[in-house]
Amino acid sequence: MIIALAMRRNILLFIIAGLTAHCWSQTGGNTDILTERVVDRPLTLHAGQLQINPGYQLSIGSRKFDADGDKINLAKEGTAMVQHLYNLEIKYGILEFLEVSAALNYSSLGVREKQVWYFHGAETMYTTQLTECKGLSDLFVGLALRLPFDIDHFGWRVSAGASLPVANYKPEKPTHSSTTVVDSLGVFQQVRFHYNDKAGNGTMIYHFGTAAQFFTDNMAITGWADYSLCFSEAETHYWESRLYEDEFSYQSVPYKTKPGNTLSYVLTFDYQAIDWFDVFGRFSGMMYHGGWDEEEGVRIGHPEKNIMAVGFGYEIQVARHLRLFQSMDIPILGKNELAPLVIYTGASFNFLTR
Amino acid sequence: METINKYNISGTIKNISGSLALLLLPSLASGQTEQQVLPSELKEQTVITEPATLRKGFFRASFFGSYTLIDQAFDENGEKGYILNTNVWTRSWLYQLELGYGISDRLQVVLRPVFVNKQVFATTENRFGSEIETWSAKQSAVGFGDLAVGIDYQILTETEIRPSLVAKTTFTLPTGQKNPTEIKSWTDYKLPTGAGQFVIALDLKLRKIIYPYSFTLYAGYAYFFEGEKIFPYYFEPGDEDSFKQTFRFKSGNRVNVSGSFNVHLNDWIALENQVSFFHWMGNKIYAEPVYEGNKAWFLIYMPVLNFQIRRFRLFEKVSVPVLGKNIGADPDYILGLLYTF
Repeated sequence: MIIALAMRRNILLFIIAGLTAHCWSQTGGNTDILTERVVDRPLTLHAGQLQINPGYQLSIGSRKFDADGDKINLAKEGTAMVQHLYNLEIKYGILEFLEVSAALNYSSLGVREKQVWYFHGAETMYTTQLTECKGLSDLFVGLALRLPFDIDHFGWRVSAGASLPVANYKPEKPTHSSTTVVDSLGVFQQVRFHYNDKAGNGTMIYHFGTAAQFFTDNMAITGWADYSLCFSEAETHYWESRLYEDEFSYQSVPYKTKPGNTLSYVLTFDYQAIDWFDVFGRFSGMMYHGGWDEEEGVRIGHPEKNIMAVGFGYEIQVARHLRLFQSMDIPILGKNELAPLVIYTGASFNFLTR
Repeated sequence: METINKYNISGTIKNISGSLALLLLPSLASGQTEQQVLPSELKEQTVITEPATLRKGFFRASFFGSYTLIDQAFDENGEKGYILNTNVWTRSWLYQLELGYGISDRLQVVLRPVFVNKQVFATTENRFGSEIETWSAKQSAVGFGDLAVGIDYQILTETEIRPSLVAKTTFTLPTGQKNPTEIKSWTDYKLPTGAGQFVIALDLKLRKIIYPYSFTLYAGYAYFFEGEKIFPYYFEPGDEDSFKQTFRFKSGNRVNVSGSFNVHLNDWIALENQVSFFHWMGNKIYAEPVYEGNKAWFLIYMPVLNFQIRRFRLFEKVSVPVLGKNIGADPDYILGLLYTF
């Protein structure tokens, strides 16, 4: 569950990162379309503009927020979490005010839990646990429409999209192992629990969003919000394991799950320091509620979650077709959620097809 | 008269040839002389256009910070996976200052002091029936590490056809703390900041510039001398004598080969794409019995983004292990700032 939510949050962070690169509004300036300053860019791509945005995101989970909103040090808790996420987003301006986009992620998340020793009479056993979540995400496709006329110092857009359930979502069979170890400390049984989760949702998730922007010559303030919701549940399973004489056997247990609804938001302050260099600070957050799991008619709700973070970053117009950007987000408040430090590095390749 | 005429003819010829020379000179001159470049501009050259070693009298100060975490590793079969059996988790910052000086246009010396800030976390839970005992440990290493001194000599300077060739010799001196300190128990101590061994490394670097590109080939060998230090691995619970016991050791020598393709993205941003192969022979610890470590190797891809802002150069580097054996598989992040005086 934690992993599924972390994945969802990563998709949102990815959307945030993508937005940073393009969504700040208004037209104007003397530069050509491909070298527009960040604060001069409209909230959607120009007609005929093709944008390809690859990126890499590293998330290092050293803290989490508990149900009371208290910050827990994961190192003391005994959990180590690292995620590597590679994303690719492609956008195209169909009209001057209408943009279509598609995005896909590949991620590798690993959560290692503390070592637990069991001392029972003369028998000693120790266990470790690794939960891995690896693979492609669902495919996001979306449309965005901005105001078809210019208003001084203001821009606005609405968007809609869907995450198509194309990725694997059912956990693969675990790869637990058990061995008897003999060393200077004695004889003991070593048990490794290794879960293999997948990154897909298993069901369609719909996105509805809006963004508004106020700007001056060199500054822009942009607010963006996205609400995602799901109307159908997915059939999935978890694996029960049994250990007998150092051999694990597994049994698949089916259950239904329905992802909850998520509100994501970002407020960004952009400062165009030089025509080719933009710095920004932002405040972002996510609220999750309404998800559940159901097994044999018993339905259990997912805990509500939320997280807020502050971030900063920059974008450089490197060449006519190439932009680079980097950002860092630091969680500050939250409930029931991991609080990773997120570092994002991305490039944006821009072309005109008309 | 003849003489006069001769002189006149000769004078006329001289005048014509003088005029021709004056007419032709600018075109000849523009074809063969180099553009006048001020020393201050030479100090603003990028990682692609600068010479292979510092010019005479140039001084460069560089500061690097590298961040490493240990989460995944390549096992003895070359399979990449998470470090199992433990939730041990390392967060390590390494700071390095590099001071370089051009003694001549071909010879430079460099000094590399290192500052280490490393933390290792691990948590274990012990269950005795219903009784649960949780043990958390955080070990740190903070302080100056080993000092490296280098001498680089440009054996071949670059011409339009020929690449440059530089020989780099680096001596690493064990100036950092080699033993664990403040040992209170077999698990509670400060980690060392140094390796406790002398190292000598020789590298050859071949480079060719075809603006806006450059290509490099690099090959090196490092010899690690024998040392002696305390190894926490041999600590016995409750045995304080074991906390002081030293062992002779020898780290495995290292071979490295790499190549890079570098390109100017614009006049002041350069992207380096480096692929490197490192191979280490096995480490040895002369304990009872003698510990013989496995050989290790990895192939890494290292993109480097360089921003040249006048005499400042800022770079970001990510080292991504692609393949390997018996070695960590996590990326390193390196941020550096250089200034040429």
